[in-house]
Amino acid sequence: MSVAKELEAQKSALEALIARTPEGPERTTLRDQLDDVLDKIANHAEDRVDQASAAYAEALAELQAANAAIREAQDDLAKTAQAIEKVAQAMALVQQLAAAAF
Amino acid sequence: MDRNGLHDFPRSRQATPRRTGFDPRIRWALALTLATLSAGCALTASQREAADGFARASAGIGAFGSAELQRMRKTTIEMNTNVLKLGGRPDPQGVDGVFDPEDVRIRVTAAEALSSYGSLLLSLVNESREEELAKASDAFVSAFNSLAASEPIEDRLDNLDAAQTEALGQLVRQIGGLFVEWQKARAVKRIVTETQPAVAEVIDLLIADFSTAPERAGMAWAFKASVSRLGNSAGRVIDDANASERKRNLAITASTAVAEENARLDSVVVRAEAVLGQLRAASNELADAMAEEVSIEQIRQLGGDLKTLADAARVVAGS
Repeated sequence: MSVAKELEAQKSALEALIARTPEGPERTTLRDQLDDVLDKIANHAEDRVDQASAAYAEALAELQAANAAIREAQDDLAKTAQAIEKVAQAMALVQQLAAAAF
Repeated sequence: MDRNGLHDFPRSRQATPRRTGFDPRIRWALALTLATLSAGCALTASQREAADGFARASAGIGAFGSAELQRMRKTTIEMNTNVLKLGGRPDPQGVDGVFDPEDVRIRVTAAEALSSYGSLLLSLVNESREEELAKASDAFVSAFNSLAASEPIEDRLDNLDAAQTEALGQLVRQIGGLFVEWQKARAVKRIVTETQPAVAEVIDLLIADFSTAPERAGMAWAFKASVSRLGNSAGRVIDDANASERKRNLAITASTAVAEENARLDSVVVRAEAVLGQLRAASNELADAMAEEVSIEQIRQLGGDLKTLADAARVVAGS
């Protein structure tokens, strides 16, 4: 069982035990034990969250690069369309000049 | 040499009636170019649908991730503040628990970048550049007509009739459109293929953060533990017969908040599972669609494109 699963099992067991135990020193002890487990969960979760943050940062950089690439591709398409217009004009000239020459 | 001093042509060639339309060889070259462009890369309807599905699935993830993560942070601060007021044990990770501003920010930014990726990708897929191509077509026809009308060329040209001129414009538009489609499809396929691992990674990370399952050990799991911490602190005060009235009231209010936060967390987890599950399926579908080889649909589309082109070319050639 993983550390997280083990801690979760301890937490659930203590919560169930506290609910069944009448008020008094025994319940206070169980509450102390629950706080210990909750501290361990907080520390373990912090480590995992930090690890995940590093993974997020890496993936985020790739997503941002992809978004930039999409914008660049859109610019390229605009340029292509403009180039087609210029080529079309040039083709008209060439076609007409060729027809006139022969 | 001819009268312009350029070329001497064989008599038979000089005697051949001059045509202003495209030479048949040019038409075939054109058709081959189109075949290459169309068969090679134009996006299929299913690829467009996959991009649309992904954009829809990713649309709300930025807002959802941002709202829920920031709320979790704010609520954690409130709960841990109440733990201190109740005399409970402080969270070892500080009053905001695992919700450090930088850790929240990177998640919110990633979720928003994922949404942007979906919408930008769809806008690229839907780019047609119709306006520019229509302009190119008009410019071509206009340049052709103005040159044909000018002296001294006018007398030496077999001017195109209206149908030929229109077909000529259509040709320019068709060829330009197919080239734009080819260029666009090439960009979309490359970007989707290269970005797929990062998209899958962010989705998996968000799934982990919005899960209360211990094996995921994400933010929601830590949040649930903070709720338990407040519940335990409130329970201590309620158990204590000597607690002040003010503290007891605070503990009762905290117990109510614990029940509400647990219920709310359950619904957020269910919603996140649905939203992120759908997004993961859409992402896989998009990647699969972009990996498609030439399909029957593309071949059919190519047939349609070439027929339009051939019709236009035939009119221009006057055949």
